[in-house]
Amino acid sequence: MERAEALMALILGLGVRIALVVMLAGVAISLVEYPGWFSAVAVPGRRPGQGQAEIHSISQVVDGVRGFDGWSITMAGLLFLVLVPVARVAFSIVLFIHQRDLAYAVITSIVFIGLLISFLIGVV
Amino acid sequence: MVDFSISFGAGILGALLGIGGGVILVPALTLLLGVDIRCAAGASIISVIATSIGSSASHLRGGFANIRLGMFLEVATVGGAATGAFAAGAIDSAWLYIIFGMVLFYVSYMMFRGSSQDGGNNELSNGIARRLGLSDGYYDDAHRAEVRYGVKNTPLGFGLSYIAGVLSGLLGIGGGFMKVPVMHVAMGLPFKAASTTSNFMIGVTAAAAAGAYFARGEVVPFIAAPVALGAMLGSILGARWLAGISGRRLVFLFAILLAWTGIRMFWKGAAGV
Repeated sequence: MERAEALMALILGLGVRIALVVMLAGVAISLVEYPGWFSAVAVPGRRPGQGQAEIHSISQVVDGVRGFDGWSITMAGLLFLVLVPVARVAFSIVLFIHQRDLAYAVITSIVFIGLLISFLIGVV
Repeated sequence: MVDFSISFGAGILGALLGIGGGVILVPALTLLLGVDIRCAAGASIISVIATSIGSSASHLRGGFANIRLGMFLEVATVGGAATGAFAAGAIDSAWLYIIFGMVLFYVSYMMFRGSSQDGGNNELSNGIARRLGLSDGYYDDAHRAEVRYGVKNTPLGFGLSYIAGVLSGLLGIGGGFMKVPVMHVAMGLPFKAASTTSNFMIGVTAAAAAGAYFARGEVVPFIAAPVALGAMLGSILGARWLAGISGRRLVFLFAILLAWTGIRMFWKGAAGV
């Protein structure tokens, strides 16, 4: 049991590191592509709802990453980071089943489905 | 980079106090850096996830967090977060500032009151808590003892968790400021258990809210990425300090800062309505 939890911690930790590396890479590439990056930080908002990211969907991100676009890569790293808690919940389902704790496997599954729905409505 | 250092500080404070740092981060980004509150919230929701991960890494090994209770309450929080996050798209920004200001008043009030005791409920769990096996225990280094506690007021805790989730989604915060009192005061968890469980929960809650923010283009890479990195580092550091700290004076000063920030946020919103 401890082993399973340790394994989960390991995988999640790896996922986080990957996300961070991708973000850093994206930031670095963005600095090269858009030198005005630092001074762009304090730009007062455009109209709400318009957003400043111009990136709205997964397919756009994938295209951007292929095209070596700094923003898309950073975005990909951010999305990956968001997936870590989701993965943790999924792992927990497996752990509870392993512990024969079906009540909590069900409860955790409900949380997982909620996360999926929220994500799918938003990002896809 | 300013974003990074602000979120670094927010991450440390967040990990220490069991909150996501979002209540610090969003006002800092909007009031100090002039970022639109929606983009600030988008960046903050990412930082909440980073904070949660950073502080969870060490806590779970200490066994303080009550994962079962956390998951159970997350059913409510995730629902609330999705509701709040999607609703945020329909609400005028001025109201977001106003609600945020009120939240800050509440947080600072809670801090002035302080936590009454470190300990939790010594009675056995009742009702639903007993049936779901929510009670738990941990080994407390500071007191050198195994601490067990019972859980009570489960339906109330569940309902309040939903509200905490809505606020998370609406404002881009972790909601820990509400989850910790709910678990500690209403449900009877010792403070350390409440705050570590909260740290675990806020990541899940924020993930539920994130989808809506991405969809509206309110997660801006050049703000969100440095913020996430800073929050992660800050929370890892803060979590390391948690074991030994008891900073009454610090909490008091912080409460004053929050109250003042609350006034500023509220004013900004009121001016725009």
